[in-house]
Amino acid sequence: MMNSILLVSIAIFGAVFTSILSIELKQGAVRASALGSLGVALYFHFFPLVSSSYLTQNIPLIYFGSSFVGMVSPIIHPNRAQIAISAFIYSIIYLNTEGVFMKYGGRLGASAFIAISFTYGFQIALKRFKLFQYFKK
Amino acid sequence: MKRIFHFSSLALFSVLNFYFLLGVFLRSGTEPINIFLLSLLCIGMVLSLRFQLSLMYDNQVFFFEIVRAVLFVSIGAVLTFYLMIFLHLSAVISSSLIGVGASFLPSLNRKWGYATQLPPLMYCGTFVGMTSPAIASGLTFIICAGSIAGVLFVVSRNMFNGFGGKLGAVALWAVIITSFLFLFVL
Repeated sequence: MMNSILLVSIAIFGAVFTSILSIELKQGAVRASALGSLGVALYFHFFPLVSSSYLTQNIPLIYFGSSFVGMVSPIIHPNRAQIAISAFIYSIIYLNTEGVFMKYGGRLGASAFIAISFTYGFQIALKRFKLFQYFKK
Repeated sequence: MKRIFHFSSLALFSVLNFYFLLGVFLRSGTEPINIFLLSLLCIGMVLSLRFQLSLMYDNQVFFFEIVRAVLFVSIGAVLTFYLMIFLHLSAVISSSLIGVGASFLPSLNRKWGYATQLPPLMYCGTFVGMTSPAIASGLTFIICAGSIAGVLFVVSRNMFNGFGGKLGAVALWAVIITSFLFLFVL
């Protein structure tokens, strides 16, 4: 349970941090994702005993995937809250797909893509059906 | 013709993504919470697709674009696979190392108009190269998957613009298609 909460938190942090690197610090999406992922992966490569073997193996992977969520354009997700929601959805997918397409390259990216599609889809639906007007009244 | 091309590209992308979700469903079981979560994911994806369908893009594809995409995606894939297999680096380190390097390519010569497209192409290739040797039988597989990923990249270039993870999704489908090809055809 604690491991799952930690992984979800890292996913949200990874996505938001990548977004900040990419947009505010103007590094671009690819460099922002790759730099953060490289830093985390190298840390656990050189210090594997800092945490349990489960976390040492999964933290770089979940961060790597969440950095793809952070690569999203501001047109799709204009604010950090939406990025955080997508990262949360991504982490749920990650934790539930440990045996699906294992060892296939691009699996993490596909999970991130589905998470963003989910958040974006509901964002459009809420705008189109103007659901928020009932809350404003 | 453009509309047919746009629709069929979108349909292919959708089928592959729902195939992934089906795999998730079969893996995670039939508990109510899993069904609920997967239903939400499917609904969200359908809504996104519906919006994409309503947008008309210019989907003219040039041969040179495909050649360039295939070349640079394959280069990214081969370099990453090499780092993983021969230098025994982890998949994440290999991919992100090549990604960082590729991100500086546009700075080499700002006069190259297409240089800004190279980092995403090579980064997509790194995801293909991350495939485990248990799946990828060798460099031939990687080059084949990289080529297919390059073609898929160009075909989907006007779809889901700005969506994070699209490069990874393209790479995954290329690896899956290549696996089927190597299993049943080659």
